[in-house]
Amino acid sequence: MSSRKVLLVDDEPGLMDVLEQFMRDEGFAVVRADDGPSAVETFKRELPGVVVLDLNLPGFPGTEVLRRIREICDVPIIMLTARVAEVDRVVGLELGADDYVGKPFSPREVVARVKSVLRRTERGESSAPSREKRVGAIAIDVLAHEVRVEGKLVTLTPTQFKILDVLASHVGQTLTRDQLLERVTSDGDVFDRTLDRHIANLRARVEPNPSNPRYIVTVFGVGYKMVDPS
Amino acid sequence: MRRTLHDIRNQLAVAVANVEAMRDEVIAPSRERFETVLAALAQVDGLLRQLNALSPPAAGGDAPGLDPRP
Repeated sequence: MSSRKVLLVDDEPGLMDVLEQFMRDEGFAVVRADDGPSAVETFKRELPGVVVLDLNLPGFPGTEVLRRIREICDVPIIMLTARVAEVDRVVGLELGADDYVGKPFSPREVVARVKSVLRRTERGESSAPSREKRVGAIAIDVLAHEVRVEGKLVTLTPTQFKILDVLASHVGQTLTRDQLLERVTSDGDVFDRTLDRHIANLRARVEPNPSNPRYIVTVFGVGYKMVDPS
Repeated sequence: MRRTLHDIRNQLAVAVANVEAMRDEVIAPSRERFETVLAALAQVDGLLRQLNALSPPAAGGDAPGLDPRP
C-alpha cells in the first residue's frame, strides 16, 4: 500500500482531470474510477494510500463503496458531495469517512485535506492489512484470494486457501489440530478427520515434492507447521 | 428540487476547478478546457431555468400559482 497513491472516484471527467493534475503536481500517483463497482475493484487492485470518493456514483453509491473498503482496511477516505445537508455529512462520517468536502470546492483544498489525513494516519499508522504474504516461493494474495508458487497461479479450494493463509500467518510456529480447526472452521466446513485430507491436497498443489514436504510439515502428535525453506 | 441543486453544485465544481487550475497554471489554458467550463456553466443555466419554472411567483419564479378556488 502506497501512501503517495490516491484513488479518485467521481463520474465527472471534467472534474477528475483537474483533480488528478493537482494531485500529480504534489507528487501523488493517481488512479481513477468512475462508478461504484469499479471503485471497489480498483481499490483492491491498486491499494492506494488514500481515497477521494464522490457520494453520488453510478452502479452503487459512494457510501456503499466506503462500506466495502472499510471491510478491507482503514485507509483514509475523503468524501466529496454536492449534497450539503447535515444528514449527508453525518452519514458519511458515521460510516467511517475521515473527512468531507462539499461541492463546489477548490482543488487545492482537496489536496490540502488529502495531505492532512495522510499526516494524521501516518502519525497513528494505518491498520491496513498487508496484501501479500510470502513464504519462500509461495505468494498468497489475501485480497485477490490467489496463490502463486514460483510465480505460477495455483488453484485452491476455499478451505485449502484458509488453511494456507492461517499457516502462513504463523511461519515457524506449530499449530495444533484444534488451533487450525478453530481458525478455519468458522463456517463449519472442516471436520477433524478431514483436516489431514485437506492438508494432503494443499501440499499436492504448493509443494515441489508433496511426499517430502518442505513448507507444510507435520509435527507428529501435535499438528502442522509452516516453514520457510529459504 | 434537491436533485437539481445537487446537479448545479456538481457543474459549478467542474467550472471552479477548471478555472482555478488554469489560473494557477496547473493546467494550460486550451480551447478544450474553456469548452468544458462553458458547458458546465450552460448546464447550470439550464438547471436554474428549470428551478425558476418550478418556483411559484411568490418565490420569484414563473410557475403558475395554485388556484385558491376548490
